[in-house]
Amino acid sequence: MKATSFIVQFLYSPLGGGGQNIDSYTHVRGESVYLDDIPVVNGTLYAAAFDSPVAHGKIVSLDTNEAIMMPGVVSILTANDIPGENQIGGIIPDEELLAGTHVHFCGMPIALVIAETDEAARAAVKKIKVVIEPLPVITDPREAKEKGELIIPPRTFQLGDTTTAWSQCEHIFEGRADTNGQEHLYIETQGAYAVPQENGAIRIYSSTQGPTAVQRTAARVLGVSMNQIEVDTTRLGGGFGGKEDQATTWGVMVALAAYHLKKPVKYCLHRMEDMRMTGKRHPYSSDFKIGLSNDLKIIAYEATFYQNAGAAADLSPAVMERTLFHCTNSYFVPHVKATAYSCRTNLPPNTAFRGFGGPQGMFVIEAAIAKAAEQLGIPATDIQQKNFITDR
Amino acid sequence: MIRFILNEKTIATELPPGMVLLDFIRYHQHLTGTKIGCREGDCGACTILVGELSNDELSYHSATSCLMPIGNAMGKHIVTVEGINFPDTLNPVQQAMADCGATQCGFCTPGFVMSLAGFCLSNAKATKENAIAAIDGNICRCTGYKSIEKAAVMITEQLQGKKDAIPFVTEQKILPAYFAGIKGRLQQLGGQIKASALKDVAALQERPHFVGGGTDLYVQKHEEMKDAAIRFLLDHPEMNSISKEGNRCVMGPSVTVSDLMASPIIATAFPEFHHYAKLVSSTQIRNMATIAGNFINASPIGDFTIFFLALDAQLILSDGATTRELPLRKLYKGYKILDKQSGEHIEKIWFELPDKNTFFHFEKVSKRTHLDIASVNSAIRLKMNGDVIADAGLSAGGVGPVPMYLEKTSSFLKGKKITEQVIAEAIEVMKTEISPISDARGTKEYKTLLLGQLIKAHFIGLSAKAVFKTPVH
Repeated sequence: MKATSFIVQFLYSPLGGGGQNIDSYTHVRGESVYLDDIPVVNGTLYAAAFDSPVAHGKIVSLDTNEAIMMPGVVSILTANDIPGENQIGGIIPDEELLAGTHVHFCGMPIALVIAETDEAARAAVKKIKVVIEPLPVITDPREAKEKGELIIPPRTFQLGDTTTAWSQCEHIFEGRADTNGQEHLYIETQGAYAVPQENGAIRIYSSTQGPTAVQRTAARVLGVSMNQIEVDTTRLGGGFGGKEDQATTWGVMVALAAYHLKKPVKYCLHRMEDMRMTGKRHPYSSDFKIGLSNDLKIIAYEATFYQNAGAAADLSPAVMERTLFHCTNSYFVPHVKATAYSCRTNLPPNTAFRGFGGPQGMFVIEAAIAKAAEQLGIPATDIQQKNFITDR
Repeated sequence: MIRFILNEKTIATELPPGMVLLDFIRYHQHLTGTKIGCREGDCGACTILVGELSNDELSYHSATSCLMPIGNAMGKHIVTVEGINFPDTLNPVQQAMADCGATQCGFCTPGFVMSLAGFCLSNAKATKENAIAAIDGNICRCTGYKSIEKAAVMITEQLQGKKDAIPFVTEQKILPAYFAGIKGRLQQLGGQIKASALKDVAALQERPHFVGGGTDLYVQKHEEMKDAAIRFLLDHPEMNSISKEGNRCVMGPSVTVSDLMASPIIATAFPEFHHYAKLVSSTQIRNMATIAGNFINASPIGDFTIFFLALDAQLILSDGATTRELPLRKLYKGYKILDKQSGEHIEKIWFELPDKNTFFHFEKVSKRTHLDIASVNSAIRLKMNGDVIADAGLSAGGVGPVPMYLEKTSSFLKGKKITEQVIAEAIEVMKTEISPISDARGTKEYKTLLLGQLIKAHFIGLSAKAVFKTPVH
């Protein structure tokens, strides 16, 4: 059937709006237009980022002489070429687009090569040399907390009073539970394409979950008003949170290049670049203490979450809040005290990922229940069922 | 000049033969339905179909276009998603994907559609299992796969009664009518290529890079290979044969894993071959990857190298003028160092087919069961004389710098009766001839323990095949 009749049939079908994807018709025919499918304008240039090979350090020197002489290379931009503010932090202004004096994670962009072809840009990236004086590296959130490296002050959520509740508990168990990071692996990698418009305006095609963040941040970095920046998001080949804040980097980079060169500039990351330079799901390390009555009711629960935020805030404070909101999962616990620390480490800034901190909170109470069940020699489901939130 | 058919269109291009088909399709033909996900053959978003003539029969298989140089498309029919679209309607594969909610963000979707179209074009029986097996090389991050499985099942219903695939899919309007004319067009194209290829014989000698399926080479070196001077091994039909000569099986150098899976000679000799092969990569990669390439790649955990080491396979190496024979186990001199001159290539591979007293078993352990590199793999061949081992061949991967033929352990087993004691002693002998290292796939202690367990698993597996009078536990 024709595309239009397909959509009409879909809208009036019993399933319409319920389960079927309105975009199916073009998806299954390979006709949906993702970022790298947008026909490029004549004269389009291609960008590639040079990123830090070390996790923390002071930039002593950056040598782009050999790279700029490579065939096809048009320009190499660094922090010095930013006309506005070198700042892409969404909630907290603590993240540079291109490293100025220091690098804070392995994979932090330092320079941007712009060339006539994609291959030329990547070949030139390999010729850039940087000398970095190494500084101490922290990867463990507990160590970051000890050293006072916090993104925001700690937060505590409370219900009832755990200090007096422990005396009412027949069984008390304590332990530690850690969850690791996770790569989003959207099948379409990050990417953006900036096309100069009349009167100095720039249109950015961006594979982003947050077009406004791209617009606002591009305006800030370029030092122009927001109405000079137009953002168009055709489609995303998966995001899962990984393109909520972290798509901004690439959108702003190509805008910076287009601003200087007055030419369309495109950058689609290779998988390896994407995996190296972008943040993931937050790893957490957590302590728990759970108290149960004889009939397996959870009376009290305390948890301390050490969130591994990576090198900058990104969305970590909001993710941390979600961990606290979900820390008792689907159970009613009358006495709860949960504290969370958002810890700054030298990993790529961790970011939104399906569940947005919730799973990390839920995992810890499930670990506590599992431990209690194991120690009591009963199935965990016995404890889970006794404690579900009910309508009553 | 590289000539092939892309969808309905005849292509003749002077672009570098080492360029990957994915870039040719997307950036030179502007067909953007074929997506880039990983450029490593893992995600399947760039899946295309390759139609080729063999013994004048046209058959299709799926392949990942990110690892396929355009030189390997020579004389073939390459099909992208655009080539299976009807002007104004969805084909039944596409309709099933849409109806089952099997597409969400849509980015992986063309790859799934192509793998399923490949299933429609294949001679595999239209079963649910085969339909799902056809998409084993496609990753979807949105759906959780259940809806895609439903679509696959829905498609099998439309394939009931399929005998001769190509007339069936065109008559049933599963795929466009132009597919019916491809065979004739490829025959004609083959003639043109032959006529022009003759002139290139001398020039061939000056090309130092041999490329088979390219499935590892193009993962490691895709930028370098683009402009390399390449000799392609896949476009010679005589290099693709599997034959039986007396008690020997003789294979050409471009035999792929899928060719082995389809061979009746292999199926008779190794009844569990399908099970072993499914532990190795995915359908698309098995369709491209050659056995000779696996040998020459010299990965210490190459699955089929381990398989053929236990069989004591022999290689015929040729430099174009002279040939020599070399046992596979003598090929490896050190990590990625081979007893092979740069101008030599594998012309033939042969091994003795197991007789009724010879038993074979293969084991592989990896972090994921499928689509993964082995932590440790191992194969065993035992020729029994009553309850005594007359001859043994044991190989192991992941326990040294090269894929290993365990010479000492193999000769230890010779002449022994199979008892728990003998197996335990064999494991001790094995420990004296391996040198595993600790890496991402496990510590050396773990790998040593694992190989010991795999040796026990071999004997348990063989006892299930009734090799022994008393079962080993």
